[in-house]
Amino acid sequence: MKSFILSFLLIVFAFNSYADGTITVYTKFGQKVEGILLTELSYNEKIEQLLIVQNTYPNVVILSEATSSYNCHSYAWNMVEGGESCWINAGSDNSNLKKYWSLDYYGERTEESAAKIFYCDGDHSAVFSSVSGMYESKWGAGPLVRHLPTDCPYKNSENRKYYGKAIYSGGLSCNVGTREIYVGEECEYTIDTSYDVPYNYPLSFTYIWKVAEEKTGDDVIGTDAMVSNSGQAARIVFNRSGIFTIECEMYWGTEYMGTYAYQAIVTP
Amino acid sequence: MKQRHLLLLLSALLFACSENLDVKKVAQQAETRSLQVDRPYMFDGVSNLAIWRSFTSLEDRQQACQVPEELLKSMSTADLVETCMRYPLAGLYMAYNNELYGLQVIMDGFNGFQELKKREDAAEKLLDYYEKIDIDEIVRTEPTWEAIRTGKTAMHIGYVELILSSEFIPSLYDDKHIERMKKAMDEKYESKLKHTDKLSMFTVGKSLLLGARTKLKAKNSDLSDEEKTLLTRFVRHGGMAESGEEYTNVSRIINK
Repeated sequence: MKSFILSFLLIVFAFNSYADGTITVYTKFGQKVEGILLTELSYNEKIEQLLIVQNTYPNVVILSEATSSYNCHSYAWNMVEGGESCWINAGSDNSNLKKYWSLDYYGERTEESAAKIFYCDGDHSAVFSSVSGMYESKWGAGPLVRHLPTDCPYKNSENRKYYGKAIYSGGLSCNVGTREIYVGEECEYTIDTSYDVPYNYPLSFTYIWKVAEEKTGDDVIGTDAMVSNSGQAARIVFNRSGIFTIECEMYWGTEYMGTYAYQAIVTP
Repeated sequence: MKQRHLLLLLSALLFACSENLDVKKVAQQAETRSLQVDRPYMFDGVSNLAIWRSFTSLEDRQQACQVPEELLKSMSTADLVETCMRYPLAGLYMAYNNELYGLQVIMDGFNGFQELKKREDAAEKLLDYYEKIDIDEIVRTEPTWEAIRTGKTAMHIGYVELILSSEFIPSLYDDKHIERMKKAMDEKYESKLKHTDKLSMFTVGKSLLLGARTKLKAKNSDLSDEEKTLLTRFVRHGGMAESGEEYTNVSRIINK
Protein backbone atom coordinates (compact mmCIF):
# COMPACT_ATOMS: atom_id res chain seq x y z
CA MET A 1 0.00 0.00 0.00
CA LYS A 2 2.85 2.31 0.89
CA SER A 3 4.44 1.49 -2.41
CA PHE A 4 1.20 2.21 -4.22
CA ILE A 5 0.78 5.62 -2.60
CA LEU A 6 4.35 6.53 -3.35
CA SER A 7 3.92 5.42 -6.95
CA PHE A 8 0.71 7.35 -7.28
CA LEU A 9 2.28 10.56 -6.01
CA LEU A 10 5.23 10.08 -8.30
CA ILE A 11 2.92 9.44 -11.24
CA VAL A 12 1.09 12.67 -10.52
CA PHE A 13 4.44 14.41 -10.55
CA ALA A 14 5.43 12.59 -13.69
CA PHE A 15 2.14 13.39 -15.40
CA ASN A 16 2.89 17.08 -15.04
CA SER A 17 6.32 16.54 -16.48
CA TYR A 18 5.24 14.47 -19.48
CA ALA A 19 2.49 16.55 -21.01
CA ASP A 20 2.02 14.43 -24.11
CA GLY A 21 -0.87 14.86 -26.47
CA THR A 22 -2.18 14.17 -29.91
CA ILE A 23 -2.26 16.33 -33.00
CA THR A 24 -3.91 16.03 -36.38
CA VAL A 25 -1.83 16.74 -39.45
CA TYR A 26 -3.07 16.59 -43.01
CA THR A 27 -1.97 15.04 -46.28
CA LYS A 28 -1.67 17.33 -49.29
CA PHE A 29 -5.20 16.45 -50.31
CA GLY A 30 -6.57 16.94 -46.81
CA GLN A 31 -6.75 13.47 -45.26
CA LYS A 32 -6.37 13.48 -41.49
CA VAL A 33 -3.28 11.78 -40.08
CA GLU A 34 -2.89 11.20 -36.35
CA GLY A 35 0.28 12.49 -34.77
CA ILE A 36 1.59 12.32 -31.22
CA LEU A 37 3.39 15.00 -29.27
CA LEU A 38 5.95 13.27 -27.10
CA THR A 39 7.99 14.93 -24.44
CA GLU A 40 11.63 15.37 -25.22
CA LEU A 41 14.47 12.98 -24.48
CA SER A 42 16.84 14.00 -21.73
CA TYR A 43 20.23 15.43 -22.63
CA ASN A 44 21.97 12.18 -21.65
CA GLU A 45 19.55 10.10 -23.72
CA LYS A 46 20.19 12.30 -26.76
CA ILE A 47 23.94 11.84 -26.40
CA GLU A 48 23.50 8.08 -26.00
CA GLN A 49 21.47 7.83 -29.19
CA LEU A 50 24.06 9.84 -31.06
CA LEU A 51 26.94 7.71 -29.80
CA ILE A 52 25.18 4.48 -30.73
CA VAL A 53 24.61 5.64 -34.31
CA GLN A 54 28.13 7.07 -34.66
CA ASN A 55 29.75 3.89 -33.43
CA THR A 56 27.63 1.27 -35.16
CA TYR A 57 26.99 3.19 -38.39
CA PRO A 58 30.19 5.22 -38.86
CA ASN A 59 29.48 5.87 -42.54
CA VAL A 60 26.32 7.87 -41.97
CA VAL A 61 26.31 11.65 -41.74
CA ILE A 62 24.48 13.11 -38.76
CA LEU A 63 22.21 15.90 -39.94
CA SER A 64 20.34 16.68 -36.76
CA GLU A 65 20.39 15.66 -33.10
CA ALA A 66 18.36 12.87 -31.54
CA THR A 67 14.88 13.95 -30.51
CA SER A 68 11.57 12.34 -29.64
CA SER A 69 9.66 15.26 -31.13
CA TYR A 70 9.42 13.55 -34.54
CA ASN A 71 10.18 10.23 -36.20
CA CYS A 72 10.94 8.92 -39.69
CA HIS A 73 7.38 8.88 -41.02
CA SER A 74 6.67 12.38 -39.82
CA TYR A 75 9.92 13.71 -41.25
CA ALA A 76 9.53 12.11 -44.67
CA TRP A 77 5.81 12.57 -45.27
CA ASN A 78 4.80 15.49 -43.08
CA MET A 79 7.62 17.79 -42.05
CA VAL A 80 9.48 17.84 -45.37
CA GLU A 81 6.20 19.13 -46.81
CA GLY A 82 6.04 21.86 -44.19
CA GLY A 83 3.89 20.06 -41.61
CA GLU A 84 4.18 20.50 -37.86
CA SER A 85 6.74 18.58 -35.89
CA CYS A 86 5.20 15.46 -34.32
CA TRP A 87 5.59 11.70 -34.11
CA ILE A 88 3.53 9.67 -36.60
CA ASN A 89 3.02 5.95 -36.19
CA ALA A 90 2.20 3.90 -39.28
CA GLY A 91 -0.72 2.24 -37.50
CA SER A 92 -2.08 -1.24 -37.90
CA ASP A 93 -1.48 -2.35 -41.52
CA ASN A 94 -0.05 1.15 -42.09
CA SER A 95 -3.60 2.49 -41.83
CA ASN A 96 -2.47 5.89 -40.55
CA LEU A 97 0.55 6.40 -42.79
CA LYS A 98 -0.80 5.04 -46.03
CA LYS A 99 -3.22 7.96 -46.30
CA TYR A 100 -0.28 9.82 -47.82
CA TRP A 101 -0.23 7.44 -50.78
CA SER A 102 -3.84 6.27 -50.93
CA LEU A 103 -5.94 8.41 -53.31
CA ASP A 104 -3.75 11.33 -52.39
CA TYR A 105 -0.91 13.36 -53.89
CA TYR A 106 1.55 10.43 -53.78
CA GLY A 107 1.31 7.07 -55.47
CA GLU A 108 3.62 4.13 -55.97
CA ARG A 109 6.23 4.90 -58.63
CA THR A 110 9.59 3.70 -59.87
CA GLU A 111 12.65 4.71 -57.87
CA GLU A 112 13.69 7.17 -60.60
CA SER A 113 10.46 9.17 -60.40
CA ALA A 114 9.94 8.94 -56.64
CA ALA A 115 10.37 11.41 -53.79
CA LYS A 116 9.72 9.18 -50.77
CA ILE A 117 10.86 5.72 -49.76
CA PHE A 118 9.08 3.22 -47.54
CA TYR A 119 10.94 0.26 -46.00
CA CYS A 120 8.30 -2.47 -46.09
CA ASP A 121 9.78 -4.73 -43.37
CA GLY A 122 11.27 -2.01 -41.22
CA ASP A 123 8.36 0.33 -40.51
CA HIS A 124 10.58 3.11 -41.83
CA SER A 125 10.37 6.04 -44.24
CA ALA A 126 13.05 8.12 -45.93
CA VAL A 127 13.46 10.82 -48.56
CA PHE A 128 16.04 11.16 -51.29
CA SER A 129 19.04 13.26 -50.37
CA SER A 130 20.40 16.03 -52.52
CA VAL A 131 23.60 13.96 -52.37
CA SER A 132 23.34 11.46 -55.20
CA GLY A 133 22.63 7.87 -54.18
CA MET A 134 21.90 8.76 -50.57
CA TYR A 135 18.74 8.83 -48.47
CA GLU A 136 17.89 10.99 -45.48
CA SER A 137 15.85 9.62 -42.63
CA LYS A 138 15.20 9.91 -38.92
CA TRP A 139 16.08 6.80 -36.93
CA GLY A 140 13.35 6.39 -34.31
CA ALA A 141 13.96 8.93 -31.56
CA GLY A 142 17.60 9.00 -32.69
CA PRO A 143 19.25 11.48 -35.02
CA LEU A 144 18.32 12.52 -38.55
CA VAL A 145 20.97 11.03 -40.81
CA ARG A 146 22.14 10.78 -44.42
CA HIS A 147 22.86 7.18 -45.36
CA LEU A 148 23.14 4.67 -48.16
CA PRO A 149 19.82 2.93 -48.87
CA THR A 150 20.71 -0.29 -47.05
CA ASP A 151 23.13 1.13 -44.49
CA CYS A 152 20.51 1.48 -41.80
CA PRO A 153 19.25 -0.57 -38.84
CA TYR A 154 16.14 -1.86 -40.59
CA LYS A 155 15.38 -5.45 -41.41
CA ASN A 156 15.44 -6.47 -45.11
CA SER A 157 16.33 -2.94 -46.14
CA GLU A 158 16.34 -3.97 -49.81
CA ASN A 159 12.58 -4.42 -49.64
CA ARG A 160 11.45 -0.87 -50.37
CA LYS A 161 8.60 0.88 -52.11
CA TYR A 162 8.90 4.24 -53.81
CA TYR A 163 6.36 7.01 -53.94
CA GLY A 164 6.15 10.02 -56.19
CA LYS A 165 3.43 12.28 -57.50
CA ALA A 166 0.44 10.12 -58.39
CA ILE A 167 -0.99 10.25 -61.90
CA TYR A 168 -4.70 9.53 -61.97
CA SER A 169 -6.51 8.09 -64.99
CA GLY A 170 -9.86 6.58 -65.80
CA GLY A 171 -13.04 7.13 -67.71
CA LEU A 172 -15.88 9.62 -67.88
CA SER A 173 -19.59 9.00 -67.40
CA CYS A 174 -22.21 10.36 -69.75
CA ASN A 175 -25.70 11.15 -68.43
CA VAL A 176 -27.33 9.19 -71.29
CA GLY A 177 -25.31 6.08 -70.58
CA THR A 178 -23.08 4.30 -73.05
CA ARG A 179 -25.24 4.61 -76.18
CA GLU A 180 -24.33 6.62 -79.28
CA ILE A 181 -24.81 10.39 -79.11
CA TYR A 182 -26.93 12.25 -81.61
CA VAL A 183 -25.90 15.35 -83.48
CA GLY A 184 -27.39 18.36 -81.67
CA GLU A 185 -28.01 16.41 -78.44
CA GLU A 186 -26.66 18.01 -75.26
CA CYS A 187 -25.09 15.52 -72.86
CA GLU A 188 -23.36 15.97 -69.52
CA TYR A 189 -20.04 14.29 -68.83
CA THR A 190 -18.44 13.78 -65.41
CA ILE A 191 -15.52 11.79 -64.05
CA ASP A 192 -16.55 8.15 -63.54
CA THR A 193 -15.94 7.68 -59.81
CA SER A 194 -15.74 3.91 -60.17
CA TYR A 195 -12.13 4.69 -61.19
CA ASP A 196 -9.65 6.05 -58.65
CA VAL A 197 -10.37 9.66 -57.83
CA PRO A 198 -8.39 11.61 -55.25
CA TYR A 199 -9.57 12.22 -51.72
CA ASN A 200 -11.67 15.35 -51.49
CA TYR A 201 -12.72 15.07 -55.16
CA PRO A 202 -14.23 17.17 -56.72
CA LEU A 203 -13.20 19.98 -54.34
CA SER A 204 -9.57 21.12 -54.27
CA PHE A 205 -9.09 20.51 -57.99
CA THR A 206 -9.57 22.36 -61.25
CA TYR A 207 -10.50 20.74 -64.54
CA ILE A 208 -9.74 21.43 -68.16
CA TRP A 209 -11.95 19.83 -70.79
CA LYS A 210 -10.71 18.89 -74.24
CA VAL A 211 -12.61 17.50 -77.20
CA ALA A 212 -10.76 16.24 -80.26
CA GLU A 213 -11.53 14.27 -83.38
CA GLU A 214 -10.25 10.82 -82.60
CA LYS A 215 -8.62 10.13 -85.97
CA THR A 216 -6.69 13.39 -86.32
CA GLY A 217 -6.45 14.60 -82.75
CA ASP A 218 -7.61 18.03 -83.92
CA ASP A 219 -9.25 20.24 -81.28
CA VAL A 220 -12.94 20.64 -82.23
CA ILE A 221 -14.14 22.85 -79.36
CA GLY A 222 -15.98 25.86 -80.81
CA THR A 223 -16.28 24.22 -84.23
CA ASP A 224 -17.73 20.67 -84.19
CA ALA A 225 -18.34 20.62 -80.43
CA MET A 226 -19.83 23.28 -78.21
CA VAL A 227 -18.72 22.90 -74.59
CA SER A 228 -20.05 24.53 -71.48
CA ASN A 229 -18.71 23.37 -68.15
CA SER A 230 -18.73 24.09 -64.46
CA GLY A 231 -15.67 22.36 -63.06
CA GLN A 232 -15.88 18.61 -62.90
CA ALA A 233 -18.95 18.44 -65.20
CA ALA A 234 -19.13 19.49 -68.86
CA ARG A 235 -22.13 19.79 -71.19
CA ILE A 236 -21.23 19.08 -74.81
CA VAL A 237 -23.21 19.34 -78.04
CA PHE A 238 -21.73 17.94 -81.26
CA ASN A 239 -22.56 19.66 -84.58
CA ARG A 240 -21.66 16.74 -86.82
CA SER A 241 -21.31 13.02 -86.70
CA GLY A 242 -18.01 11.25 -86.13
CA ILE A 243 -15.88 9.70 -83.41
CA PHE A 244 -14.51 12.10 -80.83
CA THR A 245 -12.35 11.87 -77.71
CA ILE A 246 -13.44 13.81 -74.66
CA GLU A 247 -10.81 14.35 -72.01
CA CYS A 248 -10.96 15.92 -68.57
CA GLU A 249 -7.59 16.95 -67.22
CA MET A 250 -7.41 17.37 -63.46
CA TYR A 251 -5.10 19.87 -61.74
CA TRP A 252 -4.17 20.45 -58.13
CA GLY A 253 -3.19 24.10 -58.18
CA THR A 254 -1.01 24.23 -61.25
CA GLU A 255 0.09 20.62 -60.95
CA TYR A 256 -1.27 18.16 -63.46
CA MET A 257 -2.75 15.15 -61.64
CA GLY A 258 -4.19 13.05 -64.44
CA THR A 259 -6.71 12.61 -67.25
CA TYR A 260 -10.06 10.88 -67.52
CA ALA A 261 -11.25 10.11 -71.05
CA TYR A 262 -14.35 9.07 -73.03
CA GLN A 263 -14.94 8.07 -76.64
CA ALA A 264 -18.10 9.64 -78.05
CA ILE A 265 -19.64 8.10 -81.18
CA VAL A 266 -21.86 10.75 -82.71
CA THR A 267 -24.52 9.79 -85.27
CA PRO A 268 -27.05 11.86 -87.27
CA MET B 1 47.29 -16.12 -22.37
CA LYS B 2 46.28 -12.47 -21.97
CA GLN B 3 49.31 -11.36 -24.01
CA ARG B 4 48.42 -13.82 -26.74
CA HIS B 5 44.92 -12.36 -26.98
CA LEU B 6 46.31 -8.87 -27.06
CA LEU B 7 48.68 -9.80 -29.88
CA LEU B 8 45.88 -11.42 -31.85
CA LEU B 9 43.68 -8.41 -31.39
CA LEU B 10 46.44 -5.99 -32.40
CA SER B 11 47.11 -8.10 -35.48
CA ALA B 12 43.44 -7.95 -36.37
CA LEU B 13 43.40 -4.19 -35.95
CA LEU B 14 46.53 -3.72 -38.06
CA PHE B 15 45.09 -5.90 -40.79
CA ALA B 16 41.87 -3.94 -40.64
CA CYS B 17 43.76 -0.83 -41.64
CA SER B 18 45.20 -2.32 -44.83
CA GLU B 19 43.40 -1.62 -48.08
CA ASN B 20 42.75 -5.07 -49.50
CA LEU B 21 41.51 -6.66 -46.34
CA ASP B 22 38.33 -8.59 -45.79
CA VAL B 23 37.56 -7.03 -42.43
CA LYS B 24 34.58 -9.22 -41.73
CA LYS B 25 36.72 -12.32 -42.05
CA VAL B 26 39.33 -10.89 -39.70
CA ALA B 27 36.65 -10.02 -37.18
CA GLN B 28 35.36 -13.56 -37.18
CA GLN B 29 38.86 -15.05 -36.97
CA ALA B 30 39.76 -12.82 -34.04
CA GLU B 31 36.58 -13.87 -32.25
CA THR B 32 37.19 -17.55 -32.83
CA ARG B 33 40.75 -17.33 -31.53
CA SER B 34 39.68 -15.62 -28.35
CA LEU B 35 37.35 -18.43 -27.33
CA GLN B 36 36.83 -18.57 -23.60
CA VAL B 37 34.24 -20.54 -21.75
CA ASP B 38 34.55 -19.04 -18.29
CA ARG B 39 33.40 -15.51 -19.04
CA PRO B 40 30.94 -13.64 -21.23
CA TYR B 41 31.82 -13.14 -24.85
CA MET B 42 33.52 -9.79 -25.38
CA PHE B 43 32.90 -9.11 -29.09
CA ASP B 44 36.49 -7.92 -29.44
CA GLY B 45 36.51 -8.76 -33.13
CA VAL B 46 34.07 -5.95 -33.89
CA SER B 47 35.58 -3.39 -31.59
CA ASN B 48 37.03 -0.96 -34.11
CA LEU B 49 35.37 1.45 -36.49
CA ALA B 50 37.20 0.14 -39.56
CA ILE B 51 35.18 -3.05 -39.25
CA TRP B 52 31.89 -1.23 -38.78
CA ARG B 53 32.64 0.93 -41.82
CA SER B 54 32.85 -2.17 -43.99
CA PHE B 55 29.26 -3.17 -43.28
CA THR B 56 26.50 -2.11 -45.64
CA SER B 57 23.39 -3.53 -43.99
CA LEU B 58 21.90 -4.68 -40.71
CA GLU B 59 22.35 -8.27 -41.79
CA ASP B 60 26.12 -7.71 -42.31
CA ARG B 61 26.37 -6.45 -38.78
CA GLN B 62 24.28 -9.26 -37.35
CA GLN B 63 26.43 -11.84 -39.11
CA ALA B 64 29.65 -10.34 -37.76
CA CYS B 65 28.29 -10.27 -34.21
CA GLN B 66 27.39 -13.95 -33.94
CA VAL B 67 29.08 -15.94 -31.21
CA PRO B 68 30.72 -19.26 -32.21
CA GLU B 69 28.17 -22.00 -31.50
CA GLU B 70 30.54 -24.26 -29.54
CA LEU B 71 31.31 -21.36 -27.23
CA LEU B 72 27.65 -20.55 -26.70
CA LYS B 73 26.84 -24.11 -25.78
CA SER B 74 29.59 -24.32 -23.20
CA MET B 75 28.85 -20.95 -21.62
CA SER B 76 27.08 -20.73 -18.24
CA THR B 77 23.63 -19.17 -18.36
CA ALA B 78 24.77 -16.18 -16.31
CA ASP B 79 27.59 -15.55 -18.78
CA LEU B 80 25.20 -16.06 -21.66
CA VAL B 81 22.87 -13.41 -20.20
CA GLU B 82 25.87 -11.10 -19.80
CA THR B 83 26.84 -11.81 -23.42
CA CYS B 84 23.36 -10.88 -24.63
CA MET B 85 23.61 -7.69 -22.58
CA ARG B 86 26.91 -6.79 -24.24
CA TYR B 87 25.58 -7.48 -27.73
CA PRO B 88 26.98 -4.61 -29.82
CA LEU B 89 23.73 -4.10 -31.73
CA ALA B 90 21.56 -3.84 -28.59
CA GLY B 91 21.02 -0.10 -28.92
CA LEU B 92 19.51 -0.38 -32.37
CA TYR B 93 16.10 -1.14 -30.91
CA MET B 94 15.83 2.61 -30.41
CA ALA B 95 15.91 3.22 -34.17
CA TYR B 96 12.50 1.60 -34.46
CA ASN B 97 9.21 3.40 -34.05
CA ASN B 98 7.94 0.45 -32.03
CA GLU B 99 10.87 -0.43 -29.81
CA LEU B 100 9.42 -3.82 -28.87
CA TYR B 101 9.40 -4.71 -32.56
CA GLY B 102 12.94 -3.34 -32.87
CA LEU B 103 14.03 -5.55 -30.00
CA GLN B 104 12.45 -8.55 -31.70
CA VAL B 105 14.53 -7.86 -34.83
CA ILE B 106 17.66 -7.68 -32.68
CA MET B 107 16.90 -10.89 -30.80
CA ASP B 108 16.00 -12.77 -33.97
CA GLY B 109 19.34 -11.81 -35.48
CA PHE B 110 21.57 -12.94 -32.62
CA ASN B 111 22.38 -16.55 -31.85
CA GLY B 112 23.07 -15.68 -28.20
CA PHE B 113 19.36 -15.20 -27.67
CA GLN B 114 18.54 -18.42 -29.48
CA GLU B 115 20.81 -20.28 -27.07
CA LEU B 116 19.39 -18.42 -24.06
CA LYS B 117 15.90 -19.51 -25.00
CA LYS B 118 16.96 -23.14 -24.60
CA ARG B 119 18.22 -22.69 -21.05
CA GLU B 120 15.91 -23.76 -18.25
CA ASP B 121 17.37 -21.19 -15.87
CA ALA B 122 17.16 -18.30 -18.34
CA ALA B 123 14.35 -16.56 -16.43
CA GLU B 124 16.19 -16.79 -13.13
CA LYS B 125 19.46 -15.44 -14.56
CA LEU B 126 17.72 -12.63 -16.44
CA LEU B 127 15.99 -11.57 -13.24
CA ASP B 128 19.31 -11.75 -11.35
CA TYR B 129 20.71 -9.35 -13.93
CA TYR B 130 17.70 -7.03 -13.84
CA GLU B 131 17.67 -6.82 -10.06
CA LYS B 132 21.32 -5.74 -10.03
CA ILE B 133 20.76 -2.76 -12.29
CA ASP B 134 21.42 0.37 -10.27
CA ILE B 135 19.34 3.22 -11.66
CA ASP B 136 21.02 5.79 -9.40
CA GLU B 137 24.44 4.76 -10.67
CA ILE B 138 23.27 4.93 -14.27
CA VAL B 139 21.90 8.41 -13.75
CA ARG B 140 25.20 9.53 -12.24
CA THR B 141 27.23 8.12 -15.14
CA GLU B 142 28.18 10.41 -18.01
CA PRO B 143 26.92 9.13 -21.36
CA THR B 144 30.02 7.85 -23.14
CA TRP B 145 30.61 5.00 -25.57
CA GLU B 146 32.30 3.07 -22.76
CA ALA B 147 29.23 3.57 -20.56
CA ILE B 148 27.06 2.26 -23.40
CA ARG B 149 29.33 -0.75 -23.91
CA THR B 150 29.21 -1.64 -20.24
CA GLY B 151 25.49 -1.17 -19.76
CA LYS B 152 25.58 1.99 -17.66
CA THR B 153 23.01 3.94 -19.62
CA ALA B 154 19.28 4.56 -19.88
CA MET B 155 19.30 2.69 -23.18
CA HIS B 156 20.49 -0.41 -21.38
CA ILE B 157 17.71 -0.34 -18.76
CA GLY B 158 15.25 -0.11 -21.62
CA TYR B 159 16.92 -2.99 -23.44
CA VAL B 160 16.61 -5.27 -20.40
CA GLU B 161 13.00 -4.30 -19.73
CA LEU B 162 12.08 -4.83 -23.36
CA ILE B 163 13.62 -8.31 -23.24
CA LEU B 164 11.61 -9.12 -20.12
CA SER B 165 8.46 -7.74 -21.78
CA SER B 166 8.94 -9.56 -25.05
CA GLU B 167 7.57 -13.00 -24.11
CA PHE B 168 10.87 -14.35 -25.42
CA ILE B 169 11.36 -16.38 -22.22
CA PRO B 170 7.84 -17.58 -21.34
CA SER B 171 8.91 -18.94 -17.95
CA LEU B 172 9.43 -15.36 -16.74
CA TYR B 173 5.67 -15.22 -16.29
CA ASP B 174 5.47 -18.47 -14.29
CA ASP B 175 4.31 -18.32 -10.68
CA LYS B 176 7.90 -18.86 -9.64
CA HIS B 177 9.18 -15.69 -11.32
CA ILE B 178 6.36 -13.25 -11.95
CA GLU B 179 6.14 -11.77 -8.44
CA ARG B 180 9.90 -11.39 -8.32
CA MET B 181 9.86 -9.62 -11.66
CA LYS B 182 7.01 -7.35 -10.57
CA LYS B 183 8.85 -6.39 -7.39
CA ALA B 184 12.02 -5.56 -9.32
CA MET B 185 10.04 -3.60 -11.88
CA ASP B 186 8.35 -1.56 -9.14
CA GLU B 187 11.73 -0.71 -7.66
CA LYS B 188 13.18 0.35 -11.00
CA TYR B 189 10.08 2.37 -11.80
CA GLU B 190 10.18 4.27 -8.55
CA SER B 191 13.90 4.88 -8.93
CA LYS B 192 13.37 6.21 -12.44
CA LEU B 193 10.67 8.58 -11.30
CA LYS B 194 13.16 10.19 -8.93
CA HIS B 195 15.25 11.20 -11.94
CA THR B 196 12.80 12.59 -14.45
CA ASP B 197 15.33 15.30 -15.30
CA LYS B 198 17.72 12.64 -16.60
CA LEU B 199 15.28 9.94 -17.74
CA SER B 200 12.54 10.79 -20.21
CA MET B 201 9.25 9.02 -20.68
CA PHE B 202 11.01 6.85 -23.25
CA THR B 203 12.96 5.27 -20.42
CA VAL B 204 10.33 5.46 -17.70
CA GLY B 205 7.70 4.03 -20.04
CA LYS B 206 9.55 0.73 -20.41
CA SER B 207 8.94 -0.11 -16.78
CA LEU B 208 5.28 0.53 -17.47
CA LEU B 209 5.50 -1.75 -20.50
CA LEU B 210 6.93 -4.51 -18.34
CA GLY B 211 4.31 -3.81 -15.70
CA ALA B 212 1.56 -4.01 -18.29
CA ARG B 213 2.87 -7.29 -19.68
CA THR B 214 3.22 -8.72 -16.19
CA LYS B 215 -0.29 -7.64 -15.25
CA LEU B 216 -1.74 -9.21 -18.38
CA LYS B 217 0.13 -12.45 -17.73
CA ALA B 218 -0.63 -12.71 -14.02
CA LYS B 219 -3.25 -15.33 -13.18
CA ASN B 220 -4.90 -13.27 -10.44
CA SER B 221 -4.76 -9.84 -12.08
CA ASP B 222 -8.52 -9.17 -11.82
CA LEU B 223 -8.62 -6.84 -14.81
CA SER B 224 -11.82 -5.54 -16.37
CA ASP B 225 -12.24 -5.93 -20.13
CA GLU B 226 -11.60 -2.23 -20.57
CA GLU B 227 -8.39 -2.41 -18.57
CA LYS B 228 -7.24 -5.46 -20.50
CA THR B 229 -7.87 -3.62 -23.76
CA LEU B 230 -5.90 -0.60 -22.62
CA LEU B 231 -2.92 -2.64 -21.41
CA THR B 232 -2.96 -4.85 -24.52
CA ARG B 233 -2.93 -1.80 -26.74
CA PHE B 234 -0.10 -0.26 -24.72
CA VAL B 235 1.97 -3.43 -25.06
CA ARG B 236 1.18 -3.74 -28.79
CA HIS B 237 2.51 -0.21 -29.28
CA GLY B 238 5.76 -1.16 -27.57
CA GLY B 239 5.04 0.96 -24.49
CA MET B 240 4.22 4.16 -26.33
CA ALA B 241 1.12 5.92 -25.09
CA GLU B 242 -0.65 8.54 -27.10
CA SER B 243 -1.09 10.89 -24.18
CA GLY B 244 0.03 11.58 -20.66
CA GLU B 245 -3.40 10.48 -19.55
CA GLU B 246 -2.85 7.05 -21.09
CA TYR B 247 0.44 6.67 -19.19
CA THR B 248 -1.36 7.58 -16.00
CA ASN B 249 -4.16 5.10 -16.68
CA VAL B 250 -1.66 2.35 -17.38
CA SER B 251 0.16 3.20 -14.14
CA ARG B 252 -3.09 3.14 -12.20
CA ILE B 253 -4.06 -0.29 -13.53
CA ILE B 254 -0.63 -1.75 -12.92
CA ASN B 255 -0.59 -0.49 -9.36
CA LYS B 256 -4.11 -1.42 -8.36
